[in-house]
Amino acid sequence: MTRYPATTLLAQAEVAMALAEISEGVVPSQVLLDALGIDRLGCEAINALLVSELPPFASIYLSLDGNIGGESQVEIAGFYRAISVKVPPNPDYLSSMLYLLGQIIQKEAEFSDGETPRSKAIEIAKLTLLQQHLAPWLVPYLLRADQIAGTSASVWITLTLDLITSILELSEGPFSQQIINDDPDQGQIESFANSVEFIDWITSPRLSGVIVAPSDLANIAKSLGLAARIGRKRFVLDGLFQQGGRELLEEIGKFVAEQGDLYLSRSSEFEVLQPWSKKAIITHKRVLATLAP
Amino acid sequence: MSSTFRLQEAGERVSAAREATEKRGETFYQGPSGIHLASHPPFERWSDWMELDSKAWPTKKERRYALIPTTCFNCESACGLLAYVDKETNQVAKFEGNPEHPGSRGKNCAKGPATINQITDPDRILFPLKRSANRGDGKWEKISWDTALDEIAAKLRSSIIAGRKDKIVCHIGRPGEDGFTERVLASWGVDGHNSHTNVCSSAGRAGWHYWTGMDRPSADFANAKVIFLVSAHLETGHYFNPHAQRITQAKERGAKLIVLDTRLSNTATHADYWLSPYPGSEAAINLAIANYLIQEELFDREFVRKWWNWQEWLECAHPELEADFETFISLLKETYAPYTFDYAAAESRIDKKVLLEVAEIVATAGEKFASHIWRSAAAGNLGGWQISRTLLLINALMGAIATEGGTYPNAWNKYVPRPIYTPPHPDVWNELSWPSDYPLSMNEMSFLLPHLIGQGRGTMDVYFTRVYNPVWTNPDGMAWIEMLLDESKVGCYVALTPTWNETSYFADYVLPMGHASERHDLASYEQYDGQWVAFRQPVLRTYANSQGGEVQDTRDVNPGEVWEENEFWIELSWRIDPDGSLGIRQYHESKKNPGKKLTVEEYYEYIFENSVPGLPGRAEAEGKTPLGFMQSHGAFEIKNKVGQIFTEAVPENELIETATTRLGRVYTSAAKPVSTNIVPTGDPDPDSSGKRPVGVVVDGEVRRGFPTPSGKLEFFSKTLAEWGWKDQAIPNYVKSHIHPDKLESNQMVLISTFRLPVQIHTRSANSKWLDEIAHTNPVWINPIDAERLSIEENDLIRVNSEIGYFVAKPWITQGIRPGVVACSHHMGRWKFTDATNSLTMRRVELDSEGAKRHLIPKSPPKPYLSSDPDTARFWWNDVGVHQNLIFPVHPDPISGMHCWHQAVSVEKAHIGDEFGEVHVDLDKSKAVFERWLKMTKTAQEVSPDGTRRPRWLMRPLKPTKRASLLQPADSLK
Repeated sequence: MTRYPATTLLAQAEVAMALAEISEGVVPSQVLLDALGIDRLGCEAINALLVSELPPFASIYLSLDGNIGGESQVEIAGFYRAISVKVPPNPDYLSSMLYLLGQIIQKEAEFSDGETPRSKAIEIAKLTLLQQHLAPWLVPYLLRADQIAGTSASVWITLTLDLITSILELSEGPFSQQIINDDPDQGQIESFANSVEFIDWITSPRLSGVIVAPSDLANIAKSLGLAARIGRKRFVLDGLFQQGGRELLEEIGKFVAEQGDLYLSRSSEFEVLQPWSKKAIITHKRVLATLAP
Repeated sequence: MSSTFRLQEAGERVSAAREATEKRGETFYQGPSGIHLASHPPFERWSDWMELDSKAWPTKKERRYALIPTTCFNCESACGLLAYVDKETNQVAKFEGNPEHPGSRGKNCAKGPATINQITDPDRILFPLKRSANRGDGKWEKISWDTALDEIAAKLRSSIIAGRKDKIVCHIGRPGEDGFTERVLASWGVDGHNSHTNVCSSAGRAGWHYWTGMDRPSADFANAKVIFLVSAHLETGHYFNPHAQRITQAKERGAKLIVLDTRLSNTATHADYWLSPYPGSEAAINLAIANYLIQEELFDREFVRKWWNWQEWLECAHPELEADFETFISLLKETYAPYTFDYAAAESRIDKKVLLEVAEIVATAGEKFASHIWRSAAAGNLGGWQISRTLLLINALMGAIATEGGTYPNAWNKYVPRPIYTPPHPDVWNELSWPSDYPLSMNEMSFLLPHLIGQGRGTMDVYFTRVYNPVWTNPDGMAWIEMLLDESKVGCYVALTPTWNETSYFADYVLPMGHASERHDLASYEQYDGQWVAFRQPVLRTYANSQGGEVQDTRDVNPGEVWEENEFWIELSWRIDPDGSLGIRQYHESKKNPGKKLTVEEYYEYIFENSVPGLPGRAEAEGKTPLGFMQSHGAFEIKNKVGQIFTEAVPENELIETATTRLGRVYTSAAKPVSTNIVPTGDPDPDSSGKRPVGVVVDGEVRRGFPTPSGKLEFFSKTLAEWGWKDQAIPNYVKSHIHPDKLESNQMVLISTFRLPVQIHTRSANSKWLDEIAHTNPVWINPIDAERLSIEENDLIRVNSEIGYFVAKPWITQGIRPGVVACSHHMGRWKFTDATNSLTMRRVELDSEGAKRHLIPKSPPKPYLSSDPDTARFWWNDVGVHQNLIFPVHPDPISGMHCWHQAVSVEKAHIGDEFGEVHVDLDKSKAVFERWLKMTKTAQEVSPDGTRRPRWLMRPLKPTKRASLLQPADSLK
């Protein structure tokens, strides 16, 4: 197996821990921001993204109900235990996971002289973390982050994607996380029975293949001249559906299609995006089926 | 640029930045929340910390803070706080935990952050006030500090010059400091220290003191295998937050937690074994466990042989027997054999199988047995001090004394730095505080003041209360009101308090004192096996100084004219003795600038530079002065892992011209080395030739031993035996005054001593956040009792004691055992006037009818407009009932502790009864006092040497030997 030299591994580890610090959602030290080339505006944009738009908890994107916690969080906690690391209070929080990744790579650098059972075990731990628990949601998450935050957060987004790319470059699949293994049956496209079913579906990234942020809903509402409430996405969507059903569904359908296209266009770079684009396409088809006369 | 290159370059830049940062000793990666320090701002950034203003959301408004440490002043734990001083407003915006504090380690209970409510309380007292009508009429005028100081100083000076030194009394509520006030009183030459301890912890202390010469436990919970609590201090009490976090640590490791608490407290809910004993039977349970260890020979024989004073017991109590260890063991087995599990089960009403199971668990602990008792059962019962003594018997059997995971005496885990002056103790004895009726009392008999004064035993010229509210806190509050209203008995009453309280309404002067971030104090408490000191400081003063501002005294930065006590006492002492002719001023003068006043900076500079080992070096390493270090960190750990001091060999240079008694006590002519730690302990008498006790011979070696007369753990207290209590000289079970044998058929036991986790007497008054969580105190009653008495959830009930009754609401719950009711003591606050506001005080009227007194509720607290919009929003009007008013005094004849548990009858309220009303008959309260007084053995009757009290026992102020001798007319009993 091809390996990176220790210097490269140490750089990866340093960046992983620095990104963990940035992803913490509090204001990091100026020294760190300067070293990464993130300015104050960028820092604010990242914080706004993490706090208000896309909460960086893996369980939101990997669970069927789209909520924090539950089985997917337990699975990640189990991974910490399996490698004898104390489980932090929020094991599926991006910051915790990036910090852990940095620690594992640091360890890998210590044992990078040759292949031993120890170095092999460390490498397996790294790839398991990345392939099963991190990349399956973080890649589509970062693409959405890029769309929402734009250039302000670009350094953070680019570096995080660089980190994932560089590690995956020398590794082999398969991505065994459940979202990858989901095999949506494209032959049976059913319309949504009612708005409740649709809301349950669209607010679950794992089911729908799209990540909807509060600002997406605000933009859709604005474009349709609807009043958007403030609150949880389900609550906002429910309010919007009370004002206009068909037009709203059409607009969301367009949004879903755009997301599917985006993931498809980047899926050659990131294999993990393939199931996301498939799911988004199915969601779009279900929307169209619902809109059909 | 390729991704690999970008990554490499970024990694190298970050590495360089990290290395530079770490080289400066700073933390670069704080780590994700919960892993590293992310839950607390890193120390390096305390001088300039940025947070987004939560109130400005969604706008991202940055606010910059200087974080300045101080120490919480609510309960006795002295946890570390970090004050967030807003650089824009120059005011404290909030309080969080100080991660640099070794005891609390950055964690706080609700009371810490709620300090901000106390600081900004719109009803707090901001200016010195003087009574402008009759005492108790509630009329005041604002006066200057100069006027207040001059007038009070003149009264004090006049008493001191007239030789009326026993007429000056300072009654301390929450000390929150280590000895400053005691030393002020010593400098005045008065025996005027009066603590709240005999309504608090003196029974728990007494049990420990007779054993060890020190007065409380310091359990090493974190390393224990079995934890045994006769208390609820996972939620309240000494030292709840620091202890709770260490008990939780131990539980995470698999330690077993045993809790004896009649109530299903929050602590009991966390126990592996919750034992709900009939109140007062705790000593029987302790003795049954001890008996199991003894009979099954599961105790540490070597420890007992070496460190118990078993020879003294045999010699004094059983001179007919051989004085060898095996004889002692046989006698021990015989003595404790009656304390079977059957006996304990009958007394406690707990299944004997459960008691056996608990004893088996205890036996597995070995030296890692951590036990704790403080108030709780010890404070509730006649003979409660024996509950403490029997609990320590288990530790002493296991050898779990000052071991890892065992229990230490507090004095070894505490550090009281020697201050700049230590004035000699007074040549006068205050019979009102230390009456010869109670020669063995652990602390001042403060709660008897109204009765002792009522008997004509004395009067007070000047009476201070300092953060204390005896009318509300003490039993028999109506008797306190009677005393305070009589100016012939209390000449001048000065209340030092941050907040209005029930007692301050009767004061002649009300002087506003600071809260946690508005005053200087030092604190050090036994919270684990280590020693630390923590610094309470007026944070705005420290901040102003850091910005180049000049602060004359703490009033310059506090709200209104709120002051701190240190500066107040220094200023007052100067005004008592302006020319130094009384010998007082010398203890309050600067050493740097002779003839000038001692400043608070110099006072603490001296301590930190000279009396805290390791601090100057640590400060120097950070480029700071010792004072600067404490101002910036807030606390310093002097030692971790103190170990078994009693086993240490006494150095040769302390063994000069020694004399050794037959039982191995070693006395020396060598002077006692001066220690920078002046933590109080027992102080055994010198021998007849004046040599001081220095150690004890164990297996041929002179070891340091314990500060007891024998130098060993005193299983047998010769002191108790010689002072008239031979039958109580070894750990024993005393049937409480509320033992079932002593109750009438319609009576139940009322437990009145438990705290609510978020309140702390009147100290936490006017903390709106705390008041919202806890503002009432329904009476816990078991469903079986409720059904028997036809009481339903929404009824009102009458609770009748020997001297009166109150009307309360019931809480029907299985959390209390049948036959027992319970009511927390934090509630039922009241006031006479609407002139002052409060979130937890109802307005009342006080009616008299001969000896009968009636507290009649007039109106519940109402929302009101103030500088704080929340005062217009508060939603509760049920503020509970003031139960302590109907409790007569119950002084334990030995420890002097007020025995809080009450025999009461409970019934449905009568027609016309109103929630919160209280009725008391003062004649009856006097009769109860006189009945309990007859249980004592006075010093005149029992003193073996003509002294008023065994001189080796601890005492905050220790009068000279001359003053300690009994005078013919001392007792009027």
